[in-house]
Amino acid sequence: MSVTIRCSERPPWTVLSVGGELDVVGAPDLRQAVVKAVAEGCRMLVLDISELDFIDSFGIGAVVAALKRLRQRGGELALVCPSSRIRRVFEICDLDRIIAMHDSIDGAAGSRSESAAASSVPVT
Amino acid sequence: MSGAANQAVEIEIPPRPDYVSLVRVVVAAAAELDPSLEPPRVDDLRVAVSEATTNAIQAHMRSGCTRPVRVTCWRPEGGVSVVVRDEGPGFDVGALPPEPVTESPARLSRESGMGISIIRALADSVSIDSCGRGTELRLVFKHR
Repeated sequence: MSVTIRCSERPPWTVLSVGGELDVVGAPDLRQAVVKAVAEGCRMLVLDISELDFIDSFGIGAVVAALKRLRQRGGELALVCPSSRIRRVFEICDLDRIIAMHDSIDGAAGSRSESAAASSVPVT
Repeated sequence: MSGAANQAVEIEIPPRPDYVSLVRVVVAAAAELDPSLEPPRVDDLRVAVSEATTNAIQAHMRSGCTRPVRVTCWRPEGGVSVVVRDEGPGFDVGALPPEPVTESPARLSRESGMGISIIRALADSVSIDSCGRGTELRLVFKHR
């Protein structure tokens, strides 16, 4: 199984719903989807990985790239990750401290102020 | 594949990224034959094996080596062991860069190279033997 990505709008947020496996094969598809969304004007992005079956460092790298791309443009990223199994990989990399993580799209979409606080980590 | 604990499962795959998911499935299935290995440990094993196998495949791709990457999994008393062997150019294990601290601006520059850190965080034991003829990475996951 590879990765599936669906795009929807929940103004002011764009939602990318990612399912399948974010590994060395699937991660480039997510990178490409984020580049396209940002090129089309997206600055507030929710990555919904509720339906993700697997993530490793390549998937984590694609999420970090998305966060970096958005913050460089004054935007923000929120992650919907209710699975403790997937969240554990982010925690190992300490990324739960710099990416706003939520259990639902509703929670993420209402998180603007919280996300702004989390974005205090500077971007090179 | 055998259910006998002392028998190894050996996989040889072409050095192509689309084979990584197959290795994950096979190693997880072999580990799940041991009912005392908890599902979260199997999840950890799946991630670590994915990292190690991807690194091995990339080592072959970088050096133009078309020979297979080998993954061996067996179930010693009290856990699961996995060895991933490649015939790439090897690397200096002592020269791996440290993980930037979370608050550092450098943290967001780090989009790759986290694989070994993740493996070390997940496995109970990791040993890496690397030289100019290849790399052998050994993982042990114990019951908890």
